[in-house]
Amino acid sequence: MSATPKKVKKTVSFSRNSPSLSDRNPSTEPGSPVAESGFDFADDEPQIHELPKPSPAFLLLPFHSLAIVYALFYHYNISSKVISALHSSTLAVLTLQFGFGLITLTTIKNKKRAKKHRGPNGGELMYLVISSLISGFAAVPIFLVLLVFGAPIGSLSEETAFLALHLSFLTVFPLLLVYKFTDPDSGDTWIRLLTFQVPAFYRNQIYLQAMGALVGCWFGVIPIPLDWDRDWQQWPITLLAGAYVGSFAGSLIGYLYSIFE
Amino acid sequence: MVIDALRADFLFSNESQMTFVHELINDGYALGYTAYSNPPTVTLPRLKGITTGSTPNFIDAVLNIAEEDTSSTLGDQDSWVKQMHASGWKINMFGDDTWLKLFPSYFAKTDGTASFYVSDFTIVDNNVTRHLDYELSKEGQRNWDCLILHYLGLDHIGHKGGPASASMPAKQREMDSIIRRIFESTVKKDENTLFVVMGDHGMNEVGNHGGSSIGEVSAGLLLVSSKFKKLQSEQKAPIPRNPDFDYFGHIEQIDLVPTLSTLLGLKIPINNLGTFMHDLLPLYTEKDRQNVLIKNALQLKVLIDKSRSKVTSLDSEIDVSSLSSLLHFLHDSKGTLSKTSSDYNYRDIFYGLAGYTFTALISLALFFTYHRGRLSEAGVDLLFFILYAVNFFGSSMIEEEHHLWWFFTTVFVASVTVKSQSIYCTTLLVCLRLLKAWNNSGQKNNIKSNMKIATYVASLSPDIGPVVVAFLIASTLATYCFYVTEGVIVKGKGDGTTLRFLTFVSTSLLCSITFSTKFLSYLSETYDLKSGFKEIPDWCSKYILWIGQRLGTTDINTVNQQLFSLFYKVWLVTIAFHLLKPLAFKIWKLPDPAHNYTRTILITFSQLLISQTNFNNVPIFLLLLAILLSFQKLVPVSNLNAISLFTILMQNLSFFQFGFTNSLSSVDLTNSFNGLSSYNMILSGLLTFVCNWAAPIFWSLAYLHLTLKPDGRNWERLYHRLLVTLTFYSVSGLVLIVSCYNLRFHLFIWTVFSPKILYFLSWTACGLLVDFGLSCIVTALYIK
Repeated sequence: MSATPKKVKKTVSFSRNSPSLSDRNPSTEPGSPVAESGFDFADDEPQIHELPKPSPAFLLLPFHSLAIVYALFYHYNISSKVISALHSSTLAVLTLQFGFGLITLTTIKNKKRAKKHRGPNGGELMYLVISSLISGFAAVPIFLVLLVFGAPIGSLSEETAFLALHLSFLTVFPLLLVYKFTDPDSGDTWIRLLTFQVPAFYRNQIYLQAMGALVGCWFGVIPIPLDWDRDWQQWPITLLAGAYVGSFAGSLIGYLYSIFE
Repeated sequence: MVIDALRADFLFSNESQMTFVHELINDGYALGYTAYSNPPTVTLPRLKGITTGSTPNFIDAVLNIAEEDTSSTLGDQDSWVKQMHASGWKINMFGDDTWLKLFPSYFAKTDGTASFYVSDFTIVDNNVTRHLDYELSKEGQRNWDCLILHYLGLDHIGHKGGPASASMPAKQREMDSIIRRIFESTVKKDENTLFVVMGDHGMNEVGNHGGSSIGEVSAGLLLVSSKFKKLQSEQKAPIPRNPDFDYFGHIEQIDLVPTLSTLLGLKIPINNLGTFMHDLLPLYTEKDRQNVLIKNALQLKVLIDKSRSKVTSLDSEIDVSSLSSLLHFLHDSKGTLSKTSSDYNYRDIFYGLAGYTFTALISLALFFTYHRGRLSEAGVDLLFFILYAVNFFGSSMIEEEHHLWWFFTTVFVASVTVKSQSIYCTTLLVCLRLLKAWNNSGQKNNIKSNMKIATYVASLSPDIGPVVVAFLIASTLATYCFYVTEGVIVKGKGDGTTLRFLTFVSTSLLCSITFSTKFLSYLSETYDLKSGFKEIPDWCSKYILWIGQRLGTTDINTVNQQLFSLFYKVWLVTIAFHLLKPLAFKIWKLPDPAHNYTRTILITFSQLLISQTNFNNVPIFLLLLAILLSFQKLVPVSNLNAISLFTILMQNLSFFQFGFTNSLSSVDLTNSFNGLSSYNMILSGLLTFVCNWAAPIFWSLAYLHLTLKPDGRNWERLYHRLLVTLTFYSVSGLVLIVSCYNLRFHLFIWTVFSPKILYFLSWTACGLLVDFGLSCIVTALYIK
């Protein structure tokens, strides 16, 4: 056997570039995200520019996620009757998410404009309704992705569909509030969001919230095959709980990171 | 009379065809039981249990497969067979030759049948039944005191087609008629005859056994004697089929040993842990009942005294005059004894552990020396190995290991594809999902919430089923054929043309033989061909007849035999040609020696693997090829670590997605005798290995296909993979051994952890033979 080969590993990663990017752009102050958007030609890879991101705020933390998990278990009793709990909780969950959307929109707006506190106007309400509709339809591709990543085919489809709906409102919906489809370069932005090309993602509270939901959902599947014989070890209870807790944790991490930086 | 794999519902349920047995029960001649058979539910350990009354030794499960081994004899261990022999009984034995292996010298007259030729359902049983004419005749009956019959056909049907196989009802009727024959010529005529019909173990829902699922441990047991009429049992058969196998009383199979000895007036074998079946007590007078139980109790008492090395008298512990306290004592001692009957040789265990730790340390040292400067890469690998290995501490994670591999694979594939927008990502992911859905594995909840495409295809109606199966098999084989000859268009008119023509001819010949064997095995396993070709469409019966005419026989088994021996001949020539082609080209100075070398090697080996794969898993190879090709597009050859990890992931994932698990019951024996006319331990062992480890072999060669390049650095790349594989096996193996040692008193040590060790052993064998041996040969012959 020949001697151990010495190879120079060529890494082309965004993470190496991103710290320098973020060093140059101290973006914790309100109002800065707008200034950031735009190409940073000084960088090695000009096509990877930082996405505009909302400045972190306590109000952006999705506390309702935790409330939903609690309610699913103790009010709707999801462990014993999965489908009926999912049915009866949907309206409440969507209302809560809508409310969160309202808060998020106003928070972002107020931070951006740095003006006096203002409520949402008619156009924003309209945007919120359309975003909710889009998120509802986005559940279809998410459902397919869930199937591809191992959700049961042929059985438990209703459960998976509900999981897809919840996930859609945990990932697509909050991102839509920040990365508006009405923005001029929204197509490019969304392609990058969907292919996970987000530099300095660890400071992006909303993006972390969505990622946290995905990661939490992914890890939520682990307890199901274990032989603890608990009634909550069912599809999709653990995944739902994981997604909600994950989305809160993601948002919290983003918030704390920016506070203590 | 032992009927192999006779599950309780085959005897007693309303779907059972054994109507005479039901009559016997209803008339009070017979008592039915569901007998719990201790895992491992394989014939050899079960026979030991049934004759000696002891709980099994796990190594027996392995010896069960190594048929020529003689170390499994019971030698001087006490059993009721030995007791009969000592009392001067004449014992005649016909059937499974496992009995002869256990008791080489006790039988007066024998005729053994090999138990591993599973594709034969009829001859194996006729070889037993043909002796009955004489043995049951008046003259014959004078020449034996005990007759042991062991029928294997039902077990073979189970292995081939499962409990709902088309051949099952006919076999049950055949067994029923033999029971009727024996009953009428012996039990009916002589009051002092006891006739025992039993299964040595059951079978699970796919017809295999070896593990500890409810179907496998619920064997049927039927005691028949004219004397039982006195008991006035209330048993009525048949009983509606139920998923818990709850038919009549539940007893343990080892209880048969003291019962049989007592009923026949023999001494109870000394190692027996069973207890007398108390519902037979009314056969005896009040006084004798007590004696019967005391005899059993004293025998168990000796064992108990031995286990706590303290001798006391029975009277000092219980009131021997009361039946209930005796029964209570028997029940308790059975419980204690079965718990303490495992004995460990700690010295050997520690030697093994130390040896393994040493190997693991060496491999880690090599691994880190190789990876210095790239420690993050090594760290990720090691983290994955350890994360995987930690799961060995949980029994359910071993039972459901396929989830683990699916999880790791999706994480890996997501990390590879996440930033790519290529169409191959979608192909890769969809193919992986189809692979998972094809024949999903797992020991619990296997069927519950997962659609299995293989099951769906196999259960299609006769109008459409054969067409779909033929299409799937043919398209898989055609793709391979197409791929190896680089498509249909001939580019240029260089030297390649002749070669490509030869390659095409040999591959298509192999493909057509494989197609015939797989399609025939589908037809014969799904439909009952014995009673004519009524169930199958016209074109299928024409096809069978056409093949039959060419080969001069219509028996499916003989046809398969001939086709397989033809296949092996062609395959050996082809593989030798492809392996030696670069060398020969170099010698004769022909251009481009290594052209397409890895591709032809991979495809030709795949032909062998496909021919050894069950027909419903054949289309998986199409998915494997698609996964391989799309992965090739996504990851450059310079990213060796990703390719090595992917190989390990896919080896394991596809192994489990072939339907295999970590339970002995999922070992597939259906293809172990393809083309063999007699039992040959080495060849059928090899075929069994190829059949069960087809996917790992494929991926091992796929790594070579991805990395063998004409740049002279092939050994470096192979070394990388071998190092990763070695580290993987040494780290996970060490954790597995530690976990088994740690959990050696765990409830599942014999049913979950020990089989995993055996499987792990086979994985290391695969690593040595294929990952190391075959890869080195193929790499060495790659001459540019």
